[in-house]
This record gives sequence, C-alpha cells and structure tokens, in this order.
Amino acid sequence: MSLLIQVLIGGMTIGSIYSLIAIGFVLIFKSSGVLNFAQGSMVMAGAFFAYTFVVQLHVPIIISLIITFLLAAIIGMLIERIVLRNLRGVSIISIIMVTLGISYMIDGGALAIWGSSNFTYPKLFPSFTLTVGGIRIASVYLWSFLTAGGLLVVFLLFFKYSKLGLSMRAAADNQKVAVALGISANKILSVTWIISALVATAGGILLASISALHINLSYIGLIVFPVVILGGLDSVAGAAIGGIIVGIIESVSGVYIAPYLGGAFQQVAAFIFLMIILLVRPYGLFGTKEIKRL
Amino acid sequence: MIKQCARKKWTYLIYVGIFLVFPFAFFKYTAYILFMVNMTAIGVIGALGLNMLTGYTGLISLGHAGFMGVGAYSVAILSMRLGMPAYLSLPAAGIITAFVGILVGTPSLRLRGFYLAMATLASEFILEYVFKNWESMTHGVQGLYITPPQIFGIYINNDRIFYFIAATLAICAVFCTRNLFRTNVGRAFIAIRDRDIAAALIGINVFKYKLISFAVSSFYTGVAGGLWCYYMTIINPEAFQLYVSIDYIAMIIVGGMGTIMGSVYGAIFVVLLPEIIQRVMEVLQPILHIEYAFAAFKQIVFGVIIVTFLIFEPRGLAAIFSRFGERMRKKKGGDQKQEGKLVEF
Amino acid sequence: MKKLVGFMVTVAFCLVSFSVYAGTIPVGIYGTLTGTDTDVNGMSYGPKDCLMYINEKFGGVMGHKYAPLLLDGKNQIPEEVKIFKRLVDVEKVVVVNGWSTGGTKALRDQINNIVKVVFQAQSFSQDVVDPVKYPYIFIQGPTYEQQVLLGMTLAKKAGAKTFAFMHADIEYGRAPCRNAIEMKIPQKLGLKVLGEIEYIGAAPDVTPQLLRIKKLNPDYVWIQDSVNNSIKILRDAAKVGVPASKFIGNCYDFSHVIYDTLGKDAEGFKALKVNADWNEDIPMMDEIREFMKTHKVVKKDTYYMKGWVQGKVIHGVVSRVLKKTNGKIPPTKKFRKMIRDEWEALVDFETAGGIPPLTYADHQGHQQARLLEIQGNKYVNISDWISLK
Repeated sequence: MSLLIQVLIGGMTIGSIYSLIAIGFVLIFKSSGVLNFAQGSMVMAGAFFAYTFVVQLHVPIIISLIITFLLAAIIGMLIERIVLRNLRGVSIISIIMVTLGISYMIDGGALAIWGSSNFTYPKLFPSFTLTVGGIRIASVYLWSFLTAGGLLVVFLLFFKYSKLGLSMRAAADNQKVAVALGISANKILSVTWIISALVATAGGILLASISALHINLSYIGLIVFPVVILGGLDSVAGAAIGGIIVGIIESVSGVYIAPYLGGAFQQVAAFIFLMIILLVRPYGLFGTKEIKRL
Repeated sequence: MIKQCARKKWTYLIYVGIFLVFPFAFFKYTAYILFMVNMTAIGVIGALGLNMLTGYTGLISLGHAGFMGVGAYSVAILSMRLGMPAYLSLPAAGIITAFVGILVGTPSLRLRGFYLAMATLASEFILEYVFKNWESMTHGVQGLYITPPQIFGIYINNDRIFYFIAATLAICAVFCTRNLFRTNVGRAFIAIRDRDIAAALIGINVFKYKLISFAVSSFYTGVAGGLWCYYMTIINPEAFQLYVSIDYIAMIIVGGMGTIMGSVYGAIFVVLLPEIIQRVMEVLQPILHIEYAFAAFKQIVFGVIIVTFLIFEPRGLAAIFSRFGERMRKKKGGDQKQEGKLVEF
Repeated sequence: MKKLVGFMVTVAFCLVSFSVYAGTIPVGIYGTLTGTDTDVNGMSYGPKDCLMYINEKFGGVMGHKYAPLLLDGKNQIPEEVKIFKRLVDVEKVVVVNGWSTGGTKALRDQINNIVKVVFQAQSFSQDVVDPVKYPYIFIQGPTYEQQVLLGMTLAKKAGAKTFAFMHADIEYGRAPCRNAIEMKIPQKLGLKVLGEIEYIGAAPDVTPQLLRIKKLNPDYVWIQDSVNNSIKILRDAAKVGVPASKFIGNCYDFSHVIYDTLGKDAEGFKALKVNADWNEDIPMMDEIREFMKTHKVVKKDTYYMKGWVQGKVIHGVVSRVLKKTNGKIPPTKKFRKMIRDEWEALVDFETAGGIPPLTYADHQGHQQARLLEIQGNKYVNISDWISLK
C-alpha cells in the first residue's frame, strides 16, 4: 500500500511540471488557435538563459530572473511578430511545421551557444525536503506544484473576468468579428505569446532544477500532447489537471505494468492513453467541442 | 508535328542514356555520390507516399517514420526468416505496411486536423515501442541484420546495383502517382482535402477514400522502408523515430504539397542540404573552430528554411520552378508551341 | 526548365563531393557531437587534438602532416554510415575513429571485407571484437561484459546475494546486460539477478523505475548507461530512499559532474575507470597543457584523455609504418593494410601514463579497470588496476 502512495506522489510531482508546460501551450491555442510545437524549446531556452546569467555572468539571482523573463518575453513577441503575423488562417499542417521550424531554430541556437554538455543547475530556491509517505520530496517539486496551481487560479480568473482575457477568447473564437468589435488582434497575440513564453521559462527553470540542464530538455514538449488532449485544447484547468493525471499514469505504468510488458513502458503508456482519449472523448475533459461548418 | 515527336524521342533517349551511364561516370567518388542518390531515391518514394496522404488528401500524419519501419522490418523478417527474394519481399512489405496503415487509420480517421496528427503521433510511439520490445520478431534494440540478396553474384547493396533498383522504382512511383491522380480515386482525394463535407454531400464515401489514401500511401512508404533495409543491411528502432517523420514532412512542404515533382524536389533538397552546409562550413573552418557548431548551424538553417518557405512560398519549390519555367517559356515565345497540360505535374 | 533543375542538381552533387583537406595523412574521426551521449564525446575531440598537437610540435610524422577530420555522427546509424562512406571514399582516410556499437556493427562488412580500413571504435561491445572475423576493428579497453563481471565480483566480495541491472532502451544498454546474463556470469558468481529494469533514454524522470528497485531490493545495481542518465537515476534514487552506494556504473559513469550536481546524494556511488582522469599527475597531462596554451579544449574530462591516447596510438602505428617504408607514403590500400598489421603487432605501447601499456593482439589494447567511489565529493580509488582477462 505504501508503495502505491509513493507511486502516486512520484507521479504527481513530475505531473506538476507537465501541467506548467501544458498551460503555456493551451494559452497560445486558446487565444490564437496556433498549436505551438516549439513549447518544449521555449522551456529549454528559458532554463538556459537563467543559467547563463546566474552562473556564467555572475549576476545576482533576482536580477537574473528578471532579465531572463524579459528576454523570454522578447523572444515570444519576436516569434509572434515575425512569423505568425504572416501566417493567419493557413492550414494546420503549415502551423505545425512553422512551429517545428522555430523549435529547430531555437534548439540549434542553444546548441551553438552552449554546446551539448550537461550543466549543473544552480540552486535558485531555498532548498528543503519534505518526506511524505516515504518519498523525499525536494522543495523544487513543491515550488512547481505551487507555481502550477497559482498560475491555474490566475488564468482561470483572467480568462473569465478580465477584459483582456475576454478579448483573447473572442479573438480566438472569431477573429474577424473580434476586430470589428475593436479588439486589436495583434496586441492580443503579442500578449499571449509573451505570457506563454514566461510560463515556459518558469517551467524550464523548475525542470532544470530537478534534472540537469541539457539541450535535451526540449523533448518535454512531446509529453505536452497527451496532457492537452486529455485536458482539452483550450482549457487551462484541463491542462493543469491533465498534467497531474498523465504524470500519475506514467508512474503507475512504469512500476506496475512495465514488468509484464517489458521495456520502457512509461512513455508509450501516455501515448496509448492519448489514443484511447482520442477515440472516446477527443475534446478531453474540459475542452469545447468543435463544430465544423461548410 | 513530326519534327516535335522526333525531338521528344531524342530527349527521352538522352534521359535514359544519362540514367544508365550515371553510376559509372564518377571514378573517384562513386560510393559517396551514389549513396546520396540512392538515399534521395528512397526519399522520393517515401515523400510521394506522404504527399499523397497529406498533400493530396489533407490528412496530417506524424507517424510516417513508423510505417517506414514496418516496411523495413517486414523486408528483413521476410528475407531472413522465409528466404524471400527481393522482387517478392518488397511488394509484400508494401502490402503489410498498407495493412498496418488501415489498422491505424480506421479508428483515427474520424478525427480531424490536429487530433488526427496526435493520433498519428501516438501510433508513431506505439510502433517504436513494438519495434523495441517484440523481441521474437524484431530482435529489439539490437536490430536485425540481413544479408542482401544477390544479382549476378553481387549483393544488391552495392551502390551501383542498388542505384538501378532504387532509381527505377522511384521513377515508377512517380508515374504511378501521376496516373493515380488522373483517375476518380485521385480526384476524390483532392475533393476530400479541399472540402470534405461538400465532398460527402456529392456522394463521395469520405471514409472509404480516406482509408484508401492511407493504404496506398502506406504501401509506398513500406516499399521505401524495404529499400532502406536492403541498402543499410542493418535496421534498428532508433532509425525510425520522430525526427524522420519531421524530415519527410519538411520534404513535402519545401518541395510542394500536393504536387508530384514537389516530392522529388523536396527529397533532393532534404538529402543534399545538410551536406552542402557541412562542406561550406568546413571551408570556413579556420574561422569557426568548433565542430558542433556545424550541427547547430545545420539545424538552424533547416528551421529557417522551413519557416521561410511557409511564409513566402507555401507551395514550395515546385511552384517556384514552374513559375520559372513559365517565364522561360514566355521568353522563348513564338517558335515552340506550348504543350497544354491538364494535370499539374 | 527541367534541364535547368537537372543541371542545378548535378552541380549540387558535385559541390558536396570534393575533398577540402589537403593534408598528407588523412585521418577520419566521428562521434556524437550532438544528440544523446554527448557527455562522453571528449573522446572524439581527443584524437583530433592529439594529432594537431603532433603536427605542430613535431611537424607531423617524418615530415608528413596529419589531416584529422572530425565529423558529427549524431549517434544515428544512417548518419554514421554516410560519414563513413564519405571519409573512406572522398577523403581517403587511412584510419577511422568510430563511435557507436550499432554503427560499428552496421559497418562491419564494409570495414573488414569491402573497404578494409582500420577502425578504432569507442564501443566496448564484445560483438565487435574478434581478431579473426573482424581483423580491422580495434577497441581500447575491457568490454562491457567484462566490466559487468568486475562489477559483480566486487558486489560478491562485499557480501551481496542479489543483483539488478538498469539500462536505457537502446543497444548500448540492453546488449551487455543480456549478454552477461546469457554467459551465466551471475550464476558463476552465485548471485541472483532480480530484474533488468529499462527506462527511456530521454526521460526526464525515472522515479517509477527506482520505485521498482526499491520494491525488489537488490543488494547492488549495475547501471549500464553514461553520466547523463546516471545523474537522473541517482537523483531519483535519493528521492525514494535508495542509497547511492548500491549502484555501480560502467566506465562511462565517471565524471565530476555527478557529485557537482548531486552533492551528498551521490555519496557511495561506484564506477569503473579504464583510463586516466583529467589533471592527473602524468606526463601526458603535460602535453595536453602545452596544447592548451594555444588551443581551446572543448571537453576537459577523462574521455578526452581516452581520445588523446587513441590519437597517440594512431601516431605510433603510422610512425612505425613510415619507418618501414623509409618515410614514403604508400598507396592508400597498401597503407591501410600496413597500418592494420602494425596495430595488431603493438606490444606494450607506452602512452605516457594515460593508460596501462597497450598490447593489441587481442584487439582490445588492455583489459584492465579500476574501481572508484565517490567519497566526500571526490573520487577515491578503491582498487588497483585489475586485469579482467
């Protein structure tokens, strides 16, 4: 029994990181209908920026973090301005490939600047450990949990009640009408990408604090997909909860099912789960059903 | 009129001549150049398959690499376990892959757009897992070795012999695809891509044609995978991962989605570009000392090119070349009659 | 228009097939410069730097300079095959310094029967070592299977009764563990293998696997993986309360990054060492320091040292060949064959302390390893050089 509890806790801790990254993805989709395959790369880049300032340039931590977030915001805005502004209303495959192209550029850039070694991440948070049910949870996981939870609440309120949030939803739903109503689509898109880049950076810093810093961190972008499909592509709450659930699924299948099926089952488990959801309830737990018109 | 026919015949003869002489023309660098050409030929077949699915029918697939893997493993198992000769195992691999394609397609084709892409992504990972863990058939991560069959006493993975097989198959594939899109089936695919609800309204059985598209596309991909297996003589699961799928999608986007020559151009481009960049950077080596910068640069350029093409010329190289061709033809103006072409080649 | 395209394509093909390097003794080196496994790619930079150093300090060998060419194999077999073909065909290298187990296996036929060029692989798999079947392939050090044997012997000495393996889902991970089990090594030592636990190489988190280890509770665990993943394993082991002292890693788990990152969570972790470490007090280190005065060294670690030794071996063999031909460079085919013969004939080749003296009759160079343990945030030798024959 205690093993099960440990498995669940282990799953929840990594799941909270997934939630964070998924929230960034969902934000962009919710306000612009763009599927950002470059989310993982943004996560990785954010982590590297923070590392550069803190370790290589010896800038004090708080200032480093501020500069990092600023840089991330600029990059998010650049992506939106240069690339996506020119690609309104193109087919889905084009959007996917554009963001994939961007992710290649970011990955290549990171490789050129930092190389492909493992770096030790500096301790950015006050560090303590908590032992719950036999698992030592490092403070990082608690921070990521809190951050994901906090962002969830913030965004829920934002999209429901704030003017900017409502404008974003309107723009995503029907751009032409939104523009007719005086909502500046451009401004909204820029803001969306900036926020998403900030969230990605936060996720990256947390992720790198947990494992080491390496350009392979961008592969986490792949696990985003089961999470957002489960939670619903346009639901922030779905992303948060979906992340935890996917984390638990991976953990459980890794411990209980893998011995029978052999091999490294956890990643496949998440994707088999993805398939099942796609067949049973493609719009996920909280997503809105898409009605295709002629 | 007779003069034109004669001229056409000569042109074709010249092309055939070049085709035959090509592998013997390079004395020093044969293996390397032929390697590139062979990989391009395999790429052309694979890209044609993907283009049929995504470019012509509008079904996004991220699982292309998995299907190539199915083709490669089929050929490996058929030729090693059952001793099947190449002219049987390649079509057989195609059929097996088509079958797997139908299996994957049937549940997935209810989905659209992104969701379909996700389903294919999931199938990619699931296939990868099967390759790695169905040890009795695939030998897991160790991979399978094959001794390629022999023709006239030489193994077919000899670069020259393989060239003839692969290039011939690639040309066949191009002609078959071109003919396919002159039939009802091909036009149904295009209708589904453009407006599938309207297509259903005019009586096209959308689901059936989507499935056919998946099957035929998978057949091509399976054959491409089989050829790959014969050429490499060793296959392992790591060769069929997501990056291969992305490479193929890049091929059809840069080349031109929904055009046949687009698949060819795209394949040539994706195979050659990294090599050209590598050489350019080696020449510049004294300035940039660090070797891993090459790989970084290749990646960045690859990304930049994809993004640039999508912004400025989403119809790809095929559109660029055909525009160029139009301009050349207009310049030549009066002396040659223009041949009207109904279907976009 | 089609003619124009055809012309452009032909030009493109021609562009990529000329050789840029005009050195007289071309040597081809490839490794994982990008991709997975990059934490140990110092051993691809090593040979190149060593040969450049020899060029600069001694003017090459008998007046002929080396032209080392370092390419990126990305740890992907098709890429490595393509690079091999280029090196052998276009650049006409006389020695190839390869990398992965999978790639070496794929090229076995080419190396030994078709092209016949000496191939020094970074792999330690026993599947590529066979002086009779594969006369052109050489490695440097004990095979993974021998290393597992050493690990298990150590465990047995410490009183263990049960054992487990952990590895990634790639050939490098699975093959040695499976081979070891097939060769009945555990039975011979009287150890029971409780499980073979696999994980995805790129996974950010391996807690489920560590929970399984906790459940199985073996006395010792062998990690058949490199530094990148060992860090993740030890980190998650600490999370679930499995002490690092239960883990033994192979020769690619030896790096100061481990205790830099994990601190006291890495306490007690053991690994094998098959060549000298960076900054050790040996003559070879002085050479490297001299090189560093004018060049930048990308990876300052033990794998770079291994690479440097490999460069020395190449130089040693080529020197002997050229002595035999009185300083004249023979035609490529003959040159390659002579290099192979000389390489196999090396006995007690000294490497200025980088490694125990090398004898290549068995194509392995040496079969010794040393055990290290992390104690108090640094490595402590807990055994002498043990021969693993």
